[in-house]
Amino acid sequence: ADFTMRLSHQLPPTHHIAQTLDRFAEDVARETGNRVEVQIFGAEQAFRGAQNHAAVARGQVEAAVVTNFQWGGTLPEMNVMTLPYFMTDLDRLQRFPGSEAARMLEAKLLEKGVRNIAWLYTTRQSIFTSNAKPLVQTSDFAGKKIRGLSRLVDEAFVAVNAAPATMPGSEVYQALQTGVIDAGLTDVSAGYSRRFYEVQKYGTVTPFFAVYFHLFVTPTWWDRLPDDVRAGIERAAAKAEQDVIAVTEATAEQAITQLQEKGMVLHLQTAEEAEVWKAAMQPPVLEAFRALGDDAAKLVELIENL
Amino acid sequence: MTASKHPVRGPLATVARAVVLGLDRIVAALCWLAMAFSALALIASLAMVVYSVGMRYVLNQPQTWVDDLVGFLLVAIVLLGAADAMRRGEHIGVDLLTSRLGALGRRIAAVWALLAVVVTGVFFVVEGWETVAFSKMLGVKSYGHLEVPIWIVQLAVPVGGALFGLAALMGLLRIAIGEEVVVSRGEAAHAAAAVQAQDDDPRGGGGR
Amino acid sequence: MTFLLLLFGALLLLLTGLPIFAGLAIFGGALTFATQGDLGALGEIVFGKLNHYLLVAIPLFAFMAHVMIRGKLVDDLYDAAFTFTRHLPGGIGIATVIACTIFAAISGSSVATALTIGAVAIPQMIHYGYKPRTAYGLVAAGGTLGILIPPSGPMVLYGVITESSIGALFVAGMVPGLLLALMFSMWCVVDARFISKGVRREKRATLPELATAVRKSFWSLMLPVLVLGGMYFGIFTATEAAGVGAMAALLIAVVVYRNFGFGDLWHAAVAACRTSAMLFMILAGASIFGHVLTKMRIPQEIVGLVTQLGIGTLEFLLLAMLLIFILGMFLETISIILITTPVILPVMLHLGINPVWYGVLLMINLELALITPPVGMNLFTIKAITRAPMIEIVRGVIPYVFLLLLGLLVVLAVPAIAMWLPATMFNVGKW
Ligand code: NA
Ligand code: NA
Repeated sequence: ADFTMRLSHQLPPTHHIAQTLDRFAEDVARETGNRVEVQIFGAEQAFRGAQNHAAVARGQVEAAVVTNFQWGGTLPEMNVMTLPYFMTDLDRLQRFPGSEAARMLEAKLLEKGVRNIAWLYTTRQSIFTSNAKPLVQTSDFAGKKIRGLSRLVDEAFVAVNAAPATMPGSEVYQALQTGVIDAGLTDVSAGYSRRFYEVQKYGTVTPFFAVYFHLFVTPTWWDRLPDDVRAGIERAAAKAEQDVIAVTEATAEQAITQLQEKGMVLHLQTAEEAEVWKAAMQPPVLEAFRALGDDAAKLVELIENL
Repeated sequence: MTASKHPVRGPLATVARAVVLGLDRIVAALCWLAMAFSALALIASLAMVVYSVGMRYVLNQPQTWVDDLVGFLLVAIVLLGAADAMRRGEHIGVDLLTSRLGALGRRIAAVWALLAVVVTGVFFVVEGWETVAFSKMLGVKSYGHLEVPIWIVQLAVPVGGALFGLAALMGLLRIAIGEEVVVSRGEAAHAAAAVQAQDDDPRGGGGR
Repeated sequence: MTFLLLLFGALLLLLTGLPIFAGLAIFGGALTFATQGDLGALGEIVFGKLNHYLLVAIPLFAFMAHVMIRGKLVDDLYDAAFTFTRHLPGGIGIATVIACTIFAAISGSSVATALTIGAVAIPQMIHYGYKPRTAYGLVAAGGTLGILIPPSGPMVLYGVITESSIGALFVAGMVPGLLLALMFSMWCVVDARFISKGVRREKRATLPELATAVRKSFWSLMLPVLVLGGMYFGIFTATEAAGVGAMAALLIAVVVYRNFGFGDLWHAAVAACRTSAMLFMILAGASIFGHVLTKMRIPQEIVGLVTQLGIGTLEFLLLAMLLIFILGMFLETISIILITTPVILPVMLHLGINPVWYGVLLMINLELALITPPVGMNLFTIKAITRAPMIEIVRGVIPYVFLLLLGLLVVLAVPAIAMWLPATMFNVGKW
C-alpha cells in the first residue's frame, strides 16, 4: 500500500461499531485499489478515548473514532445528539450526515485540528436500570443515585430529583451490583454486553439520547492524499455511514430480546410515557445547551428542522 | 548506584566543590518542595475520597468532582515525587551485573545510569512541553465533570521531567567532586535498618 | 522474530543497571524515533497512563501499608498468626504466608502486600534462624497473592478491557489464591524439615494465649472485613475501599494504638509518595515501550502466527501462558495486561475460552512476573526494604517460581478450581 491510515478507537472487538470499522478497512482497500491500508488499533491499545483527539491532531495516528459526547467541554456543541429526547427519531438520524447541522459541527472539528469524514450512528435506545423497583414514573427517580453521563445531561437527572454520581465505566457494574448507585443509564446493547442483567433486575427502555461515533483524520495527511485516493476513502466512509444504521437498529432489537432472555424485567416505554419524561427532563438540558452560545442555539434550530 | 569517595584536591577543586555543594542545596530544596506538594496531594486525595463516600451516604449527594480531581493529583504525586525518589536512590534498576563490578566500574555504571535519567528528563521536558502546547492550542478540556483546561494538569510532565533530570544532573556533579550519589536514604532505609538491626546472621545478605 | 530481538535489546539495556523507568523510556523513545522520526506522543501517553482514577487506589494502599508499619499494626497481626503456627515446623514461615493472605484481602496490590508484611516478617524470620534469602523469597512470593486474592487492581484493569464481570473475576481469584497460600505453607513445612534446618520452634500456644493474640490483633483483622465486606455489601467501590481502609488504619493507629502523631502522618505520606513515584514512573516508562510495540503491530504479528498454525484451545493457552511468562521477566503487570489482552481477546473468544477463567490464569502468571528476574516488582520491593543484593533475593524465590508454575498448571487442568464459585454466584457461562 502507498498510504497507511492508522485508526485508533476504544471499542472492544465485538462491538458493532468496531465491526463496522473492520468492514470499513476492507472497503477502503477495495475502493482505493489497495493503495491505502487501514491499520486498526482498537480497545484503547494505542490511545485512550480522551487522547484520540490530540493523537490525530498531532498526526500520531492518521484517524480515530470517538463518541460525540466525549468532546465534553472541549467542543460542547458536539453534545447536541445526546440532548434528551432530541435526536432519537430515526428519520432525523438518517438525514443528519451531510446536513447543514453536520457541516457546522465538521467546521468546528476542523477548528480543533481534525477533519471529520464519517458519522456512525450508534444508538437511540437507552435503558435505565434499577434493582429495587422499576423506574416507570418520573417520580421514581426521586432520591436515586444514578450514574451521571456528562455535566450537561446530568441536569436532566437533577430535574427529576435524582442524584448523579460519577465513576469510571469499569466500576459501574460493581457499583450497581452492590448498590453504591441505585440506577444505571446506558444504551441497550451496552446493557447486554456489559452484563448489567447480572446485577440489575429492572430496565426501562426509552429513546433518551442518541450517540454517534464519528471518524476523523489528520487534516494535513488528508490534504496530501491524491484526489482519487481521497474519493475512494470517502466512498468507503459514506458506505459505512449508511450500512451502520441498519446494523445499529438490529443490534438494539437483538439486545432487548437478549436482556429479556437473561431474565431482566424490561418496560418498553410507549410514546405517551416518553413524552412525559421528555417534558420533565429535556427543558433544563436544552436551556443549558442553548446558553452555550449562538452556534449552539443555531444547531438546535437546524436539527429541529431536519 | 553508589560511587566511592574520591576527593579531588587543589584550590580550583575547592571552589568547584563549593559551587557544586551550593547548587546541590538549591536542587535539594526544589526536590523537597515538590515532594511536600506530592505528600499534601496524597493526604488531600485520601480526605476527598473518604469525604465523597460520606457525602453519598449521609446527605445522598454524590460528589461528581472528586474522581476527576484525585486523578489529576495522582499525576502530580508521581511526577513531582520522582525527583526526590531519584535523590534518595529509590528508582530501582537491575543490579545483577553492576553489583559485581569494582569501584571504578561502579562509578562508570553510576554515571551511565544518571546520564540515562538526564536523557529521559529531556524527553519528558521536550515532548511534555509539546503536549502542553498542543492541548492549549486545541483548547482541550478534561473529559468529565470538572472540564478544566487539560494543559494545566499536563504541565506536571515537563515540570516533573525537569526536576528529576536536574536531580540526576546534580548526581553527576556530585560524582565529579567525589561525593555520594544518593544523598540520604528514604523510608525504605528505615525498614532496612530495622532488618539489619535484627539480623543475627553476620553472613546474611541483609547488609550492603 | 522482531519481537524477540526487541525484547533482547531491552533486556541488554536494563542489565547495564540504569533505572528501569529510564531504560524503558529511552528504549521506547529511541524505537519511536527510529520508526517514525519523532518522539511520538510520549507526553500524552505518560499523562494518559497516570491520569486514572482507578490507579489512585495504589498510593492509598501504599499509604495504608506505611501507616500499618509505623503504627505497629502489622506487628500484632503477624504475632497473632505466629501464635497459631509457632509449634509447627516452619511455623514462622507459615505465619508469614497467613499474614500475606490476610493483607492480600485488604490490598489490591502485590507490592503493597510484600512491602507491608516484609518489613515485619523478614527480621522475624531471620531472628528465628532462617537464612535471609529464604525469608526474602517467601515474602516476595507470599506478597504476590495480593493481586490474586481480591481486591485486585490488575483484575479491575483486565475486567475493564475484556468487559468481563469484575465481581466474577474477584470471586474467581479466591479459591486459587487460598490454594496457593496452602501450597506455600506446605512448602514452609518441607523446607523446615529438609532444607532450613535449625529454624527455632516454640511451644504450642495455650488457649488463653491464642485469645490474647486475637484480641491484640482484633483491629487489624477488622481491616479486611471492612475493605472486602464494604465492597461486597455495596458500601463503596474498589478505589473507595482503598481510601476508607487507609483512613481506618489511620484512625486505629491514632485512637487505638495512640502511637501516631502528625510527624508519622507526614512520613507515611512521603514514603507512600516515594513508593508510588517509583512504581508509576516504571509504569510510565513501560507505557512508552508498550506504545511503540503496539504501533509496530508486534502483538498482531504474534496472534497472526498463532492463528496461522491452526492450534487448539489447550495449545493456545499454553502458548499464551508461555508468552506472558517470558514477557513477565521483562515487563511489569499492568503493561503486560495492557499489551497482550486486546490482541489475545479475539482469539480467546474465537476458541470459546471464558475470559474470567483466562483472567485467573493471567493473574497467576503475573504473580510469576512479579518474582522472575530481571524485572520483578516484588524482587525490587524486597530489595528496597532490605538493600540485599538482587542475586540473594532471586535465589530465595526459585522454589516459589516452581510452586506458582505448578499452581498455574493445576488451575489450567482443573478449571473448576477457579470457576465453580463464580459460576454458582454469577451467570458467567461455560468454561
Ligand atoms: Na488483594
Ligand atoms: Na519478572
